[in-house]
Amino acid sequence: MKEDSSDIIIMIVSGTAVLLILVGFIISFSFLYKNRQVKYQREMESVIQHYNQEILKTQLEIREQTLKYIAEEIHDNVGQVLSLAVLNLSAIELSDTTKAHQRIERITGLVEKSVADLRNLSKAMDYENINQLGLAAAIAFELEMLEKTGMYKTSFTLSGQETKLTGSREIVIYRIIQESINNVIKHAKATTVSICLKYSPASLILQVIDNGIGISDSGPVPHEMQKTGSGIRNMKNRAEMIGALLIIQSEQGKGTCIHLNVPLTIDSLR
Amino acid sequence: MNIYTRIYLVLAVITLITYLSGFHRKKWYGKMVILHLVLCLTTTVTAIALIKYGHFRNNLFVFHIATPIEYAIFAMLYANVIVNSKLKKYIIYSIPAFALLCILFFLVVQPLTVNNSYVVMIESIIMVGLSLYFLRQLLLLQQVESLNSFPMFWICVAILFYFVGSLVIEGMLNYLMRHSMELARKTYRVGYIFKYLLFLLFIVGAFSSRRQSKEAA
Repeated sequence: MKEDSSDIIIMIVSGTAVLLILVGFIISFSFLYKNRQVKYQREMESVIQHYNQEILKTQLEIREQTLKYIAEEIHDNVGQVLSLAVLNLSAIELSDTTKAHQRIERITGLVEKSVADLRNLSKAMDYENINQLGLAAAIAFELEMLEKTGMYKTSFTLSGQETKLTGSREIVIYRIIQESINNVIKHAKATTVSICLKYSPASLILQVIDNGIGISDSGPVPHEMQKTGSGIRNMKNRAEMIGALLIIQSEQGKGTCIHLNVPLTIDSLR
Repeated sequence: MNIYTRIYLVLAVITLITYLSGFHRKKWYGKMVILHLVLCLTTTVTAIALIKYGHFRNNLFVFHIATPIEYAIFAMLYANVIVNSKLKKYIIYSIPAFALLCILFFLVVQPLTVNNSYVVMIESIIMVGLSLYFLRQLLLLQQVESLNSFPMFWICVAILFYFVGSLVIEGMLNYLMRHSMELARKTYRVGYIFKYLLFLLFIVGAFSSRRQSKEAA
């Protein structure tokens, strides 16, 4: 009997000790878990905030590029044509009806050209248009603008079924293309630019190829190329932000190929 | 049958009913817990029956058979919830390896008539390691909104405490048996606390998943 009661005491004491350890363990682990959860949520919020800021910056850059294009078109094209029309109007002599008629016809032609140019300007790409028309149409428009300068021959190849990307990824991709074309215009001294866009069930592959002077790996970096360096860094950062891989292949004198692989399985943050 | 064994059997039956009546019998962890409970009940009842009705003088061989089965059940449970594919593979390979080790130990070190403490200690060390790894995984991956309503957390804590207790008690038992049978008996009884705790935490796990399913509904 005495032995039994001592057994029970041992059981109660050890049981209580084990229970206390267990409760302590569970409370400490839950506390640790909660702390990590809060930290993780904060990190996620900051990542989302950074992503949103980058998207906003990208949208502003696209808008700025569009406005620059519109301003140049108005100054170089529409403005010149309308000035010519005004000049023709002031030179009309009503006494000579045949000559006046010819001038009016010329003025009508100039005004019609201006109207057509203005209509084309209204199609200029903004990020909202990219969302509406899709990436392929936006790229085609960008190349059309480049071709219009008369300095480049362009080509665009689209293969596979075009898929709408989630979130703001199309805007980011479009901005990468714009940055690549800017680099071609400013530094590459190229005569041809071709863009290939390939959709597959798993990924989107984009290639921007030019026949310019290429990017040199060795030697001092000239001042204007330093800007390109930061542009390339920006492009790489943006590609990373949307879960894509950007590879630049270039050899001096043999042109540059910018290769972007965007997995379609990764969802964007937005 | 002493009071401790009776409490053990009652708790095992209650836990089994809880798991069989809930939706978790369809879940992997539920199936493994049910299998373990069936194993515990079968082993204990067989061991008692052999002494009482079979007039066996030693029933320890039953535990020699049960140990690798228990290891296989818990290993399968962890192999299914651990994310690391390499470790998953190792856990699955370890099941036949542990069974072979058990055979080797009863042939060479601890025969069927002796308590298989060495094998139990090895099993305990592996299970404590796996439980701690799973808790670390929970902490790092942060996939669970609320830890309290996640049944695998309770099951893992149950296994962790059960095997920590088992490791300490089995470690002392052989030494104590050589010096004082009375002390060894008392130590063995303390081991029941960990067994009770195992079932109680399994029950908490079952109820936590019920709460989770209600919240989801």
